[in-house]
Amino acid sequence: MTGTRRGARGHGQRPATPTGTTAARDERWPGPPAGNLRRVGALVTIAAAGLAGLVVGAAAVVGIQDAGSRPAPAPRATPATGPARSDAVGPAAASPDPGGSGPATAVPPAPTPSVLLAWTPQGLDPGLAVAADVDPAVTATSVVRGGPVDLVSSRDAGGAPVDGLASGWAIPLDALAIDPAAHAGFVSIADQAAVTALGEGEALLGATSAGLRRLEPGGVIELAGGRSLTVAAVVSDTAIGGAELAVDVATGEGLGVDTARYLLAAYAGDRAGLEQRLRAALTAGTAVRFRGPGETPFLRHGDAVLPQAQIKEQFGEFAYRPGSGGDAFVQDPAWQAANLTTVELPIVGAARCHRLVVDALAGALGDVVAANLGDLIDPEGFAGCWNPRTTRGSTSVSHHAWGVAVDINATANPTGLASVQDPRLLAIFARWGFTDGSDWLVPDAGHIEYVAPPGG
Amino acid sequence: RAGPGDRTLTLTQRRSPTLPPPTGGDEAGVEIRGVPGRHSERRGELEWVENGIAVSLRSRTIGLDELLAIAAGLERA
Repeated sequence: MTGTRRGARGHGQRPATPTGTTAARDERWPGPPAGNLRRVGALVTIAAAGLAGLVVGAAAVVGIQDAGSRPAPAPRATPATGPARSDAVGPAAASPDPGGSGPATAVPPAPTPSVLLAWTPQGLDPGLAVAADVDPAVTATSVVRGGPVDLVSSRDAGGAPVDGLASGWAIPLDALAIDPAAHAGFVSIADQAAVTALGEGEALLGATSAGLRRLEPGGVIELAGGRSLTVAAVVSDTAIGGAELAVDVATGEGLGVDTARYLLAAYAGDRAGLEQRLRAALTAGTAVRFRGPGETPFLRHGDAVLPQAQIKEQFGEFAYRPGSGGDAFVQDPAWQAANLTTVELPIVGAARCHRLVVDALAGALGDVVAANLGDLIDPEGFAGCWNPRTTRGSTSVSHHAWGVAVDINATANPTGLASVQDPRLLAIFARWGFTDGSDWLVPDAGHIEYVAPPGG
Repeated sequence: RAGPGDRTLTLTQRRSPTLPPPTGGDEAGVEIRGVPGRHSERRGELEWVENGIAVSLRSRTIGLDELLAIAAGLERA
């Protein structure tokens, strides 16, 4: 038996989520705020559904945390601002100007810097971080390391087992390692305290991952090799690039999460100019990808497809154990039975894929046929759908292992070479919610992967 | 501990002249208490800076309109 495994959500098999809310995730109560906004009331839980609205004042808010006593990460170039004001005005409801633009005028906030992501294949080119650190437009940087880790068991804060697997089996987790002080400058206000406080042997879970793990702060994740991590906090998915968990650099080194993957740079001014200067610092012949917020679901390396946490949330999580060699592994047969199905698809024939993807696949291929474009697909070039293996050249789990990607015209579009896929074919698949590897940093135009419901 | 039907939020304050750069990709500008702020639907979070204090209101269960109303009603010490 492989232990607890959850099927895909969306059709009845929804992974359990931890009880409680964000308020319950951090119950520190460090005392009166250093800031000038008074907390509105004590810890009071609003428990009734259907409230017309929260009453601001004495009894409205729960789970207030005050990070005012902990200094915010200092940017390298701090904009000049006036001294913090202490506006002693009455209740906002009675004030003629709740926004505070009366005689005790609020200091306008300094402009927020922009952020640029940079990543290069097979690890971050060292020239990027060096160049960013000295670039006059860059005010702060965070170099993020990444790699997979294997969970073998977990327990909640009370010591009760949560995940337990038979010997030899593990659950693959997508992990990052960060410098907490540097990275805190790139997360939202609500997450900054948790990121700053991340210590050795601790882990931050992204919100999606916390749901998958059914863990809250105080829970413990036991990893292969005998290491364990204590869950320090649950943060937003975006705080850790959509990864499942983040540790500090020292912990990451002990876990093998020590390959620099991407750089975040806060900057002011012209993005194109900054990209040009960073590009000039690269090792000759190195491809680089630059992204700004919103250009991909998450700012991280390998950003053209969904991160593993999102894949698991949609399609389920499985346990695995090493295979007989190469990049193949043995996958939990119970998960396979619950989530995979073999179907007859237009043009390419029989394929074994995730049951939640087959309709979209069939729809896309059906549209190819209906548009008289069937000749664009070489049936001999169909390299399958489901394949339990790691990505080539790495230990990360391929999305083929979930059966959510297909290889079409793979022979004519080998990895690393420019795409020769007909754009009409790719457009049809895009309409059905698929992306393809034509524009990847290392092109893989034969790889077509499901990322969203059709029309989404 | 919160349970079904509960509506909770977290108020966080930090001394900072600026907000951190937006990394979620879905942040939308919104005026909060008379100053420019932003809202992330994905995080369920309002953020703004007021008198040198960066403030966040975050909730997985309370929508933007109510968050704005809560923000408007916050009192100053």
